[in-house]
Amino acid sequence: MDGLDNEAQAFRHEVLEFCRDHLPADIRRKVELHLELERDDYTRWQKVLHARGWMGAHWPRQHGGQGWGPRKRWIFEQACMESGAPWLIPMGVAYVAPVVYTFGTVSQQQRFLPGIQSGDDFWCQGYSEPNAGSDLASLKTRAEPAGDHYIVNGQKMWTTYAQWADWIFCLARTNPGGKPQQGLSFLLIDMRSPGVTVRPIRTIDAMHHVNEVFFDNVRVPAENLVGEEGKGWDYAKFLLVAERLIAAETGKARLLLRQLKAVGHKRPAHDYFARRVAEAEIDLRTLEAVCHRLLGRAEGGAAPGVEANMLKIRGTELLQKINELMIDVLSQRGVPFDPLALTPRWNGAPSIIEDSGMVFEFLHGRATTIWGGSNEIQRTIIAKQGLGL
Amino acid sequence: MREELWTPLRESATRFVAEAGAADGFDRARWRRIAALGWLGLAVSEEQGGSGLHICDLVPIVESLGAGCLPEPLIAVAGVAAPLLARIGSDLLPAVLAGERIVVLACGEVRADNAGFLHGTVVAVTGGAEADMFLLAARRPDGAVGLFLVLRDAAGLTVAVTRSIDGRLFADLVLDNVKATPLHAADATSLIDTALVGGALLTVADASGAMDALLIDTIGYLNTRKQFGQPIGSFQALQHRAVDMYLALEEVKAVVEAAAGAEGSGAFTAAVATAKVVGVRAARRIGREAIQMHGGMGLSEELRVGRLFRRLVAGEAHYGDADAHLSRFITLSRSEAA
Repeated sequence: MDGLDNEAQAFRHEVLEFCRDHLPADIRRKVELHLELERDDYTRWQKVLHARGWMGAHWPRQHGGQGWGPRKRWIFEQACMESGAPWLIPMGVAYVAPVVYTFGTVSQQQRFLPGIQSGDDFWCQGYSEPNAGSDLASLKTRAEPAGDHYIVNGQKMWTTYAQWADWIFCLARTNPGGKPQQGLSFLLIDMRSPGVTVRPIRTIDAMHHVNEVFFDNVRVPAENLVGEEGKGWDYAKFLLVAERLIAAETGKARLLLRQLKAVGHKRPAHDYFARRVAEAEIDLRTLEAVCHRLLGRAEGGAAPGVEANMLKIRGTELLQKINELMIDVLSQRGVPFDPLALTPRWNGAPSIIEDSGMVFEFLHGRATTIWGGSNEIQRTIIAKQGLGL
Repeated sequence: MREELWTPLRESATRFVAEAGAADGFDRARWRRIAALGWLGLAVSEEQGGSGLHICDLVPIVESLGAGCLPEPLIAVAGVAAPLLARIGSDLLPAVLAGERIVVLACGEVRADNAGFLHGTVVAVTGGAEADMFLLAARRPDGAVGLFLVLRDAAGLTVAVTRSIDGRLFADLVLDNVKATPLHAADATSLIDTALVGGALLTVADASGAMDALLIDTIGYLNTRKQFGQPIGSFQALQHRAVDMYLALEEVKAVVEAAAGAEGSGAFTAAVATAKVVGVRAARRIGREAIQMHGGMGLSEELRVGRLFRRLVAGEAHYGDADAHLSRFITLSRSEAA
C-alpha cells in the first residue's frame, strides 16, 4: 500500500499474516461469499482477536487497551477486512466502550468493559427512531426518573443486530422542553429487561440485520446512566467524532474489487468495463491516500474537523460504485439472487451462491449512504463546520 | 517530515507570486529571479550545482505558481529538463540552473537518420515558446530512442508559437534535416519516461494550487453574494455542491502527497497516473462549478475565476491527459496482477 512507512507496512503484514493463519476457514468462506453470518461467527473471531490482544487495542492502557492511534487502528481493521474477516461490529468495542471509559464511573467501567473486550457481551445502538433519523435530536423515547431507576418508554428503529444483543445503549429524553439536544441522557439498558420487545424489519436484501425495539415501561437502574443526566447529546457527538475517523471501509473495498476483477476477467475483454474498473481502483487508492493524510493529521494532534464526514461520504460511494460494477457483470446472467443460497440450507447450484452473495452486497450496500448519518447530512455538516457556509 | 521541508518553500513561493502580481506573459527578469531562488536546480544534486532535493519537492512551489497563474515554464525546466540533463551529466546544466539558457524536452514523431540529422514534428511543446534549446527525443536507426540537443535557431527547424487557452504560449516544432548533437549514447526511453512522469505529477500540483484558489474564491462569494435577502451559501443546493468541490480538492492533495512519497520507487508511475486521473476529474468539477456559482461574475475578466479555469483546462493535456494515464494505470495494474 502506498504511503505507509516501514513500521506501518510491517504491522500491516503482521495483521495480514495473522488473519491468514488464525481466521477460521468457515468464517472466511462465509465472508468472502457474502453469506449470512451468525452471532457466533462474529464472537468467535472477536475471541481470536482478544487472545492476540487486538480487541479494543485502541483503548487506553489503563482500560485494557494498548493505546493504538487512529492510523494503526485503521491499518489493523482494513487489513482484517481485506483478509475476509467479519465486520468488527463496532457497537460495543468502538462505540459504547469509549463513552464508558471516558464518561462512565469506575464501577461501570469494571462492569462493562471486560465483557465487551472478550466478546461475551453483544451490544446494539439505540439512536434512530421512526421520526428521528437525520434529525436525531428530535428523538422521543422518554426516560422518567423514578427514585433509584428510570422508566423508559418509546421506540427505537433500524437497530442493527438487536435480535442478538445483550445490551443496548440508548439516547433517551430525561427532561422534556428546551432545545431538542438538551435533556437527552445516555442510558445502558439490559435487553432482557421486562418490557423490551424486538421486532425484525424486513429489508430489500432479504436478510435480518435491523429491528424495531420497543420499550414499554422498562425499569432501568439509575446506575446505568452514563455521565450526567441531560448530557447524552454531548457524549453521542464525542462518539461520532472519535469513531467515524476510520469509517471508510477501504479493506472491504479491496476485497470486493479483487472479486470484481476475478469475475470481470472471465468476461471477454470489454474496454469500457475495464476502464470503469480501473477508475474504481483509482478511487480506492485515492481514498486510501485521503485516509493517510487525515489520520496522519489526527495523530499529529490536529483538532478533529470534518475528516470523518468526508471519509464516510467517499467510503460509502466507493462501495456502491464497486457493487454496481458487479451488477453490470451479473446482469448478463439475469442477476441471479436467491436468499436461500446465502444460508446453510441451500442445496442448489453452487454458482448461485457466489452470484447471490454479490447481489446481496449490492442491495445491502444501498444502506451505506444512509446509515450513520446520511451522506446528505454529512455534506451539510461539512458545509457548515468545514467551509463556514 | 516532508511538510517541514515544504512549508518554507511554499511560503517563499507565495511571496514570489504576490510580488509578481498579475502576470501578462513570460518575463525574463522574473525567470532570473526564479533561478536566483534556486528553484531551477531544486531537483538536481548538490555536486551538480543544485539543492539535492527531489522533483516532488517542487510541488509546493508549482502549487503557488498555479494559484497565481504565472506563465513561466518552471515545470518544463526545473521539473523535467534539468533533472534529465543532470541524469545524463550534461555540461549545459550550469547555464540552465542560472536561468541563462532555457532548455525543454520535446517528444513527438521524430526520427534521427544515419548521419544524426533529425526529421519530424513535435506538437504543443510546453515551454517551447521560451526555449533557447530543445532536448529532442528521436527514434534512431538502431530502433533505440536517442536524446539530442537542437538549438532554437538551427537550420531546418521551424518553431511555430501559439497561444493556449490560458494565455501561456506553446510551440509546434517541424524538423527538416536538422543538425543535432547526441547527448546520450544508450537508449533513453526510460530516462524520458521518468522525466515525463515527474512533469505529470507537477502538472497536477499546479492544478491543485489553481483549484485551491478557485475554492477559496467560491466560498467567499457564496458567503457574500446575497439573493432573496440571504447569502446564497445558505442554500443547501449550493452548500452540497461546494462540499463536493472541497472533497475533490482534498482528494487531489492526498494523491499528490501519495505520489510524492512514491518518487524513486517502483510505485511512482502508477501513483502519478492516479494523481493525473483524479486531478483532471477534480479540475473539471471545480472549474465549472466555480464559474457556475459565481453566476455572471464567473464569466467576467474582472475576477480571477476565469483565468484559473482556463489554466486548469490547459493543464489537463500537459504530460499526458487523463485518458493516457488511465490506460497506463490499467497496463500497470494488469502486469502487477499477472
